[in-house]
Formats: sequence, structure tokens, C-alpha cells
Amino acid sequence: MIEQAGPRQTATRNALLAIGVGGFIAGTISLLPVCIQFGWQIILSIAGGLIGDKAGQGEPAIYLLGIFLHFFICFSVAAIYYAASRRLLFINQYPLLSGLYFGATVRLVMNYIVLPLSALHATDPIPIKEFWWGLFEKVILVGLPIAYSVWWFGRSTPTGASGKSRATGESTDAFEKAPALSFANKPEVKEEIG
Amino acid sequence: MIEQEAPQQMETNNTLLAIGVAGLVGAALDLLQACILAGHDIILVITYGLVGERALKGGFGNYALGVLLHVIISLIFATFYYAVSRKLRFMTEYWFVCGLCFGAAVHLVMMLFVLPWSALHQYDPITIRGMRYGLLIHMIVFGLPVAYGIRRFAK
Repeated sequence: MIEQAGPRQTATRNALLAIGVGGFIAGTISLLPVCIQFGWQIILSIAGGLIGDKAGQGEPAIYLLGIFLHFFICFSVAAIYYAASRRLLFINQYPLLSGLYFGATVRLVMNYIVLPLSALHATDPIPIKEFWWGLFEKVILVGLPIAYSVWWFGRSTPTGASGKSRATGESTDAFEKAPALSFANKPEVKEEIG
Repeated sequence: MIEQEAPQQMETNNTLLAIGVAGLVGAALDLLQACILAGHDIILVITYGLVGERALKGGFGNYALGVLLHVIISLIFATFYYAVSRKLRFMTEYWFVCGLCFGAAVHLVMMLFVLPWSALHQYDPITIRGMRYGLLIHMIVFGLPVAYGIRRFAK
């Protein structure tokens, strides 16, 4: 019973770490530049997405709500990335590519689904330059931190899927495949395990 | 010598077949949906992207050039997918997910690079509805056929 609970506990801890660290870094480094550029009032706009015009009152609680919502979205996004990386094993094999693509997806989902459906009702057309900048910002400040966090903490976690390529049947886990990192290739470790 | 050349020739044939089928099917479906949704004059808009206002005169030549340009762009994108899929093998393995992602990327490349830099000089702000439909349509009618075509003929 205890033997079975060990790996599962490790997997849960790794998942929480991957989502927690990725979401926290992404949340922090994506909020700070926006606050520097547009001022702290931008946090009220985030809160405005939930409570509408009432956010304009600018009370400390509304600032806290804005920060909470921002980090809630970042952790949710990191959790989605983590869950996807358990099924689509190539996500963890190519963190740079996946992170770039994921950041762009986050930008598109936020701009074209979340903001129009929120209490902000943001349906104004977006100028190409602004769209460009937003895409670049999300790719660097959200996509990459989450991708590398999930890659770092989630790489040795057992996956929900088989962990093998559908075509070749070989393991697709980069950590497992890398000879320098694999414990199984080190004779002294093998002996200890044996 | 002949024995060595045979598999190489077969691989070249597969490459051309994969890019050709994927690009042409993607182009046909994409053009069909565009003509259904916006009328067949949309072909002249494609021509406009290269020759400018002269495209508005219409005529068989301008329509033919529009279709040709559309097919060429489609084949270029299919070639790109094929080339990348040789390096990133998961693109043929997970063709459905990658096809959807590829279709979205194609739409973004067209909106952010090709249209602004073409003779259309499309710098207008991107509408929410236009981007949503564009992404969805290109993911389904272009990304998926290209990804499946490459997987089917050049796995």
C-alpha cells in the first residue's frame, strides 16, 4: 500500500510544483511590465472583467481581486498545459516550440473568447501592431515559463498515456531517452538498484 | 546502382504526392468556402494582392491568376508542413492536433505578414468576429486536410 502510494505522491507533488511554479512565474512577469507600462490601474481592469463597472471604485479589495483573478488565470492555463503534456508527449519533448505556440494560443483565447465574454465586453477590433505586441508578450512571458516549468518538474512524472510513440513504440520521454541523464545507464546506480 | 536508386525515387514520388495532394485539397476546400461565404469575386481580391487595382477589371486572366496564386500559397504551406514534419515526427503521428494548430498558424501568418505586405496593404484592425471565423475555418478546411494528406502519403 505504501509502496504504491510513493510514486503517486511524487507525481502529485511534481504536478503541483510544475503548475505552481509555472503559473506563478508567468503571472508575475506578465503583470509587472503591464503595470509599469500602464500604471497600477490596469489591475482594476482585470477585476472589471468579473465585476464590471464597480471595479472603477478602486478600493484595495478590488486591487486584490484583480491580482487574484490574474494569478487564477495563469494557474489555470498552466494546469491545462500540464494536463495536455500528459497526453501529448511531444509537448514535453519540445518545450521551446510548445511554449511559443502555447503562449500564442493563450493570447488568442484571451482576446477572442475570454475578454469578449467577460464583463468588459471587449469587442473592439484590435490594431495589427497591438495584436503583434500582445502576441509577442504572451509568447515570451507566459508560454515559455509555463512550458519550461512543466518540462522541468513534470519530465520524470509517469504519464497518463503509455509514454511510447504510436509509430515506433519507442519511449518518447526526452528525460528517459537522454543517456547523460538516465540513471539506468550508470552501472553504479544499476548495482544499487539491483 | 539501380537497386539503390529505386527507394530514393519512391521517396521523392511520395514527397511530391503528399505535398501535391495535401496542398491541392487544402487549396480547393479553402477556396470553396471563401467563394460560398464571400462570393466568387473573392478570387479577384487574391489577384489584387499581387497586381493591385488592375485586378478589379475582372476577366478570365485575373480570375485564373487569383486561383493560381491561391494554389501556389497553399502548396508552399503544404511543403513547409512536410519539411518540418520530417524533423518533428510527432506532426504526422498526432496529425489531428498538429493540423488544427497548423491551420491557426497559417491564418495568423496570412493576417500578420502576407496581407499587410501584399499590394492589398491590409493594415485595418482585426475584428473579433473576423479573427474567430478565420481561425476556425483555416483550422478545419486547410490545416486538417494538409496534415492528413502529409500523414497519408508521406508518413
